[in-house]
Amino acid sequence: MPDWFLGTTRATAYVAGNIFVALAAFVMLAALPVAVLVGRKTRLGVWLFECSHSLTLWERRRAGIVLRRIFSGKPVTGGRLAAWLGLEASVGLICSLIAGYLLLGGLNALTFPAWWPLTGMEATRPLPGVRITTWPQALLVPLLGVAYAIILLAGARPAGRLLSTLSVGRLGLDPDAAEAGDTSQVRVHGAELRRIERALHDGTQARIVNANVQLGIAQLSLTDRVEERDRIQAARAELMAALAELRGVVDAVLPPILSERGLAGAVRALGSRCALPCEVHVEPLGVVSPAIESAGYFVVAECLTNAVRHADATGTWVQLTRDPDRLYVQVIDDGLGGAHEGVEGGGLYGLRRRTEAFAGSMSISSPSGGPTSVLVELPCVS
Amino acid sequence: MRVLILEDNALLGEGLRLILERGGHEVTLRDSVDGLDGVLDGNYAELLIADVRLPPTYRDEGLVAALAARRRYPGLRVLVLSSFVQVEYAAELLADPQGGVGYLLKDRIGEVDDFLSAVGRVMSGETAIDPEVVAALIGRSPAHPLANLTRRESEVLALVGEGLTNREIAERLVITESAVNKHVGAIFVKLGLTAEVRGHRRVRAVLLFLASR
Repeated sequence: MPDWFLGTTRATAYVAGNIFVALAAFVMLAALPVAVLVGRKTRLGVWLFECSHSLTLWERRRAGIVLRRIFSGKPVTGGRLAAWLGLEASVGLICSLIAGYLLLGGLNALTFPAWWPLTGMEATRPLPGVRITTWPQALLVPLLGVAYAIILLAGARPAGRLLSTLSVGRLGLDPDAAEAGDTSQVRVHGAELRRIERALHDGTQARIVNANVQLGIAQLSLTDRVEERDRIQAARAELMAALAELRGVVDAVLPPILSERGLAGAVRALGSRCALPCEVHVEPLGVVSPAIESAGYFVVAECLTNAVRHADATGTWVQLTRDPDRLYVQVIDDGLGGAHEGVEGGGLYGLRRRTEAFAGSMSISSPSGGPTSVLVELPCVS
Repeated sequence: MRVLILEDNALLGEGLRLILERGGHEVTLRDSVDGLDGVLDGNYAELLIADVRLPPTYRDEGLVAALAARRRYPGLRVLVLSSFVQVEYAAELLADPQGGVGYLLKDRIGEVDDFLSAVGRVMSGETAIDPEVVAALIGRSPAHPLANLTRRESEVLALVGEGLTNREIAERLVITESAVNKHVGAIFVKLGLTAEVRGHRRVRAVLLFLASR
């Protein structure tokens, strides 16, 4: 029941709320020729491009909530963008108008007996094709409202699924970008990520450790054979180097402490390892997908590093909170402020890329003189 | 000495058994934390060697069980083996200043003689902290007292963390023992460890920067 309720509420909100996206798409569609005409390099062009970018990110998040998936990747451009805008301005608009009509009409009908007397009980049409003149008729109107509600609730999920599927079908990862080999996009699905980390830990790493131990034991019986011993020693040195490299790879993708202690424990460890006093507040987070845990972890790690290295801070504060569809990660320091995303390849720039790859968002507040606050919102679809 | 090993990888468990038996220890091998209290209640083991990640959930069961066992049996020595270095884990083990704890990467087991002497140090109530832990702490912040150490002093400190004596450090680094004494003295000064700090001053040196943020 709660699942059904949640799913229906999400779908209804998605389809009805789509009116805003559809209208924005309508306007953007009209502005698209202008953007092409003035070119991407002009201020107006940049602004229009940013708007369409934000709109597509927003739509991916909305669709993700209905479809219980995270849609990542670069924002689409050109023909694919135009196709999506066209879809939203037509099918999207029609769907949301129908949903809006059912929602508002239904509310109107349900409450009709309550407000009809206030209008002086004149003959009126609360719904198209329904003319009310007497009380017995008026009392039947809420039944129509119930019928509207049933149609809306029954239709919301299929409609929401259809519309969001169509929508992300146009907004999927830009094939050109994928061909260009954009490795900064972490597109591995969460469960897969954890499976890989486990496989490396229990498989590859364990095997290398075992090989090293077995060779070490073999060395013991070769006391009088110096050359063989040295060869084995060299082989073991190679194995150790392989282990260290493997650790480096695993650390960069899914830090093992996330598997062992979860996001809350891992962030606490970051806090206690921080060179500055760090206060960590973690709400119960429930189930968070490993990919999102990993993204959240790197946000905290990067922000704490910045606070220590550049901000001249005396203290930091980390908070993790959760609502059903979102994970919020906030890191504050009392340093000098003035943090900015800077050039491509910088820490905060990288965080934004990573966050947006997960269809999340990041906001930085860092006035000169401090404090600096970084708030990252990541979708959670557990 | 009687050793209880908690390791779910059978081949590694057997390897550990072989090495420890070679070192003259009596070994029991178990592949999970289930029933650990029962085994320890028989006052069987004097040293517990535990892998961090163990069944059933493969999170940090081994470490949690080792810490719990140590609280329950204060005399018990504990050596935790890990596939990667986590400063936090070392700090949790060292939070109890009694000594007799160790935290080593699994990489170290293959260097059999060194591993056995680390086991020996833990058994005799000292500490054996993986040099990678110290390496992870050094250079993490320019404001940190550790950043003031010279490279040589950092090397020496890492070996102190491992639990080596000054003579052993001198052998390892191929320098004289008096040079090591000088470095250790400099480390104590830079980390603010005065002569009044009694007892495990060397352990304290490692503890200090684990504790100092």
